[in-house]
Amino acid sequence: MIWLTWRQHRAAIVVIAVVVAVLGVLFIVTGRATADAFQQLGVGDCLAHPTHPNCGTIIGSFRDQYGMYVAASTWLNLLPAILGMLVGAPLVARELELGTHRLVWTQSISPGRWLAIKLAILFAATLAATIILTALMSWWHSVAWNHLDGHMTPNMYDFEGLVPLAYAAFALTLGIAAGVLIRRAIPAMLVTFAGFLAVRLPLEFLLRPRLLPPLTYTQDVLTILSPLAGQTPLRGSWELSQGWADGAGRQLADSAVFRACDPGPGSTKIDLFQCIHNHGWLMYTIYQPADRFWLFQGIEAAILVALTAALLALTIWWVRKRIA
Amino acid sequence: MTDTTPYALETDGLGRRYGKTWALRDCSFQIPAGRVAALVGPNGAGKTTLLHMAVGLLAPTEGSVRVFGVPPQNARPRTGFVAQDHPLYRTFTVAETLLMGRKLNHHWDNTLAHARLLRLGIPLDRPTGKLSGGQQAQLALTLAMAKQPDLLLLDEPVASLDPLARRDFLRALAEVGEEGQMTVLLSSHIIADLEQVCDYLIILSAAHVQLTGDIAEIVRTHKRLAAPHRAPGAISGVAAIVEEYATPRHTQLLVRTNGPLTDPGWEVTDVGLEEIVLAYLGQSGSNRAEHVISTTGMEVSR
Repeated sequence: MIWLTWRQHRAAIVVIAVVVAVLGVLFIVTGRATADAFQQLGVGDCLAHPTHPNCGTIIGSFRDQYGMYVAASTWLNLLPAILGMLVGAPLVARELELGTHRLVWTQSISPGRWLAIKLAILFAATLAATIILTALMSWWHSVAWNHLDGHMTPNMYDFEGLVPLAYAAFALTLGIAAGVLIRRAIPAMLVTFAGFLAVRLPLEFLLRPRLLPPLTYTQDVLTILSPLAGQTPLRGSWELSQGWADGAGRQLADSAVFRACDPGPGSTKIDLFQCIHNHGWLMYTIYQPADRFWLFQGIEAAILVALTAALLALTIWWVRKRIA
Repeated sequence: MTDTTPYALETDGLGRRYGKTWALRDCSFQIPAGRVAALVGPNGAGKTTLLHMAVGLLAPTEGSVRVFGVPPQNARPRTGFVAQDHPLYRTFTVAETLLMGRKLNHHWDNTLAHARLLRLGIPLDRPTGKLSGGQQAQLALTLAMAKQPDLLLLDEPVASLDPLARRDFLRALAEVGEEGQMTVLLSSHIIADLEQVCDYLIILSAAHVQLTGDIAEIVRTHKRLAAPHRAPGAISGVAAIVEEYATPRHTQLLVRTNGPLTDPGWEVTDVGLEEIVLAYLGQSGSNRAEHVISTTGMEVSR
């Protein structure tokens, strides 16, 4: 059965290995370049000694040059969906389409055992590939970006800790379950992709910001201009939104603030902030603090593991009861 | 192997429903071990449904099916199955297909498998998708036979074959039958050829079993009667009229007998298996009486 699984899925396993290898090379090359720039431009010094001159410019220039790699890496959020579509969805559906389930499920091995061994091997391959990629990305983040952005912003959070593993396991299981229920590979692949997004997007954009009530940090705008601005509780947090409030804590519309402090021609950011300060207005930031990283990772992974377990149970039940 | 039942395959009130339609219903029969049985019926009669339940690919909606006295899912190692259109992994070579059989079965006669393929001239290194239909059917049969099953089930094994391949396939099957080690059940909507290979018959039509029994016994106990006109009342020695064809001046009957036909008013002739089968299939719409002819020749009408 191990032989059969390898024979049927060797192409997929080789493709997964190649993808991991190519991404690995990319991460190592760009990671080293990022690490070098981080030191040479003096970003590390700026973070250690924020009072150094020109630190705003230095960090800005570093972000401009190397931020694009982080932006590009967010596409890897789709990797689990692709895995679920190409490996998960056809796993049973293709057998049902071609009628080969009637060949393989009438050998001496039971369909339940057939499924269990296939699942075990493909899960092992998926998790191994994900662990390698997650380790690579964690290192890749650690050479520069974790110092600047922490671990909590989605660009970091999505590729570190437990969540990548949970998404990969969920997507693979979703694909298999869709294939079993729909019985046709192509529709199952489409449903897998749609289903993955239908879970992935609400989890990140609706649920994750509210897993625990977000905190609010209020500060005088002039402190942002201070070199020590980076030392606030916002450091390493996930900033959800920002806005203005008056001295009594009432929120102000952006338009009202800018009408009062019109940044006319020739006025600088400092003029604007001085004006806001003179009105007695404060800037507030709603955020999820850095120290909630593992708690949020645990909760989100647990939700995905529960979904995965439910889909697995459905798949196993269907194969064992409906067919055999 | 010791079995508590003399039957290789036994169904009792077996039925399967798809949505609101019964594909098979009230299906009860036994196939004694060692027989080569034919399951005949028109397309859509429920043959495939029956076979799929017998190999554990499909759960019954009602009733039960037993293979050597146990549920089919517990008899997998003892059951060989070739599904309709003999599915194979098309990218696997013939050798890989055999390797799969060896890996997935406790009992596996590798020598038998290779000897058969060698004799048939099927190359081991060719992908199964590139074999001819006849070769694919033979490979599928080889796979099922190398498992050394006690019960071999074949779903329309000859339907997709050309006449030559069909002859070869049936010859191979006849050899299996002569060895007598294996019980075979093959379904077919083609009745010709089966008589040379099979010694037991199940007629399935309109989701119901119409007739089961030993083929020689069936042929012996069915007669065609002809007379200028039909006298009212029962005919001595006739258990049931299977088919009746009458014009004002002539009556022809196909009957099942349960004793000597002594009525001198009827001209009695023998009938062939194909005619008998067609007669049962023809009556299935109106009359769903189920006939069982046991191997001892005793008759039961249900």
